[in-house]
Amino acid sequence: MDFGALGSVTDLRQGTRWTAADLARASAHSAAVVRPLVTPDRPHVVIAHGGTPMFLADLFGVWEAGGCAVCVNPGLTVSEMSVIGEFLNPAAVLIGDEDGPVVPDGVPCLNSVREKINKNSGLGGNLRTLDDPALILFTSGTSGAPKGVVHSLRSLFARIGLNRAHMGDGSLARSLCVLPTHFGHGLIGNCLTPLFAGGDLLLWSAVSLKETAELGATLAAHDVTFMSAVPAFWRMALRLSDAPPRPCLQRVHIGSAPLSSALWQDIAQWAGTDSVVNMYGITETANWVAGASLADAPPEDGLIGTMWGGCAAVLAEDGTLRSRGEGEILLQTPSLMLGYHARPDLTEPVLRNGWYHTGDTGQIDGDGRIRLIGRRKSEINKAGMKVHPEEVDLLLERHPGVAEACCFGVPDEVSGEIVGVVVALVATKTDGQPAPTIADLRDWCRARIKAECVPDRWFTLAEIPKTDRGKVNRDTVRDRCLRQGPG
Amino acid sequence: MDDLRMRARGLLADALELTPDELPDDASIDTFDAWTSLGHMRLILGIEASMATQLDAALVIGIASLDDIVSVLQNGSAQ
Repeated sequence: MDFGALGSVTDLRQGTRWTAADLARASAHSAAVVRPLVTPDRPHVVIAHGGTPMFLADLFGVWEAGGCAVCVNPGLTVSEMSVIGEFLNPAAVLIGDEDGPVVPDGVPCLNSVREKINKNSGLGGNLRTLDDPALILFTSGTSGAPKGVVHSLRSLFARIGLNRAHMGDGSLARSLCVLPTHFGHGLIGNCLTPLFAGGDLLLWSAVSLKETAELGATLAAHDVTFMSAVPAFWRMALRLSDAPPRPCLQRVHIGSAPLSSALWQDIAQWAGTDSVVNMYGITETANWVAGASLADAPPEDGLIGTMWGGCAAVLAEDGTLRSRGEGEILLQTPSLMLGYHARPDLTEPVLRNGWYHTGDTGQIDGDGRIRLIGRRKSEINKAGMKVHPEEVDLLLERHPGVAEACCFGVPDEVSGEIVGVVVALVATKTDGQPAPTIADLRDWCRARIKAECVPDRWFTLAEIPKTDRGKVNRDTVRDRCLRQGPG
Repeated sequence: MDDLRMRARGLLADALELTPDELPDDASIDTFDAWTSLGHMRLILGIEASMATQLDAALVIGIASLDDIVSVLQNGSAQ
């Protein structure tokens, strides 16, 4: 790592600022802590905290030690951490000063700041290449069938380089991160890109409502030039906060969920700049791969602009690959993932002949502009957090009182979508237990999956309707449930 | 007052996708995990629809408990 080129990191809540030299020292310490534990057979180090300068020091430390960093949601449940532990057999779990998840037995659980090192543990190490796995971000499956996106340093540095080339380092002089650092959007786009551009990074992860009301004043007080967030955050911010008392933002990104043209314009007016960019990015492509700026064209629902490196194509209904037209969006990008960790069954269907199959449908026009019009995958987008309904189905069907479950997205004015589910309860009891109530099932889920995946709206049916081929169509089931009403 | 409290419970329960009987009497945004910031914004939209008015930002932030919701429904301001 060339720390000399990095900018600084400030924790806005703690009021502490780490220079590049501070980061280098802390990363070296973290590397010395994990280096004795990391081996070629056991390279994974789970980082179960985030949103602080120490998180970044641990990330760089794991890389310096030749390990593969696995950044997880600090709010994972005991059972989710257990699944990850079994799936990865990590060399260690790094925790922060705040409460974190319960670490599986037998895995060293370390706070790198508090660990003492002996003078030899900082020497030597595990050599790695740019193409070795360096980062894993879980997009689903922590409750049973893990889906961990694996990136190499090459794919990460390619994305950071392309982001800088398209954004310009000037706009990254002072960046505010309000997003969690275990998401690609927050970590790669909002933290690593500004940091590697030599800018000052201000961390303000998971802002509260009261803090959101201070957004405009905070931006001006710190002369913030760039920030990125999800549409749901902006809906709250525009409602609660006055605009910055003086213009400071040079560039604003919005991503991770569909953006309406009306909200797009409102954000531009509030921010006082037309460099408001609707970004398209996927964890599998290490965050942003395309963007459309109001500075270049009027807003349109679904417009995500042109590619930021690489190229896009559509897979038409007739199976042909075309550079323009309508179909599933396919991407080639230097920031493409290596695959899903230990899941060739998941990797093969989406990485074919050098193309990544996004599962989103859209149009590409003659100028290379991409417009999203829908999605083939059933993923639910709850305020930018992706929920895989199949995962919720499988979890609920492990409950002894549930015969069948079908999860789906429900349109929501605040979050874009919320998680809906319908359950068919077991008709005949063999254990003498009463049928579970919705509250029982909700509590049961809360103990097993992270909060954003726990269904918000519940429905019950005697039997989940199927197609004449015996399959469940989530859209049909959702429509019927919404017509019928909850309960 | 009981009617207002029931109405407040109904609005909060709808916003948090719970049934009213799942809400503790002392539910507050600081202590009740289900009362998330997104749920809070849904609550505000529900209150506004119910009162046919738009709450100002200070009031949106000021509502922090069931008692506050009752107070807003009754007086147009939090406690």
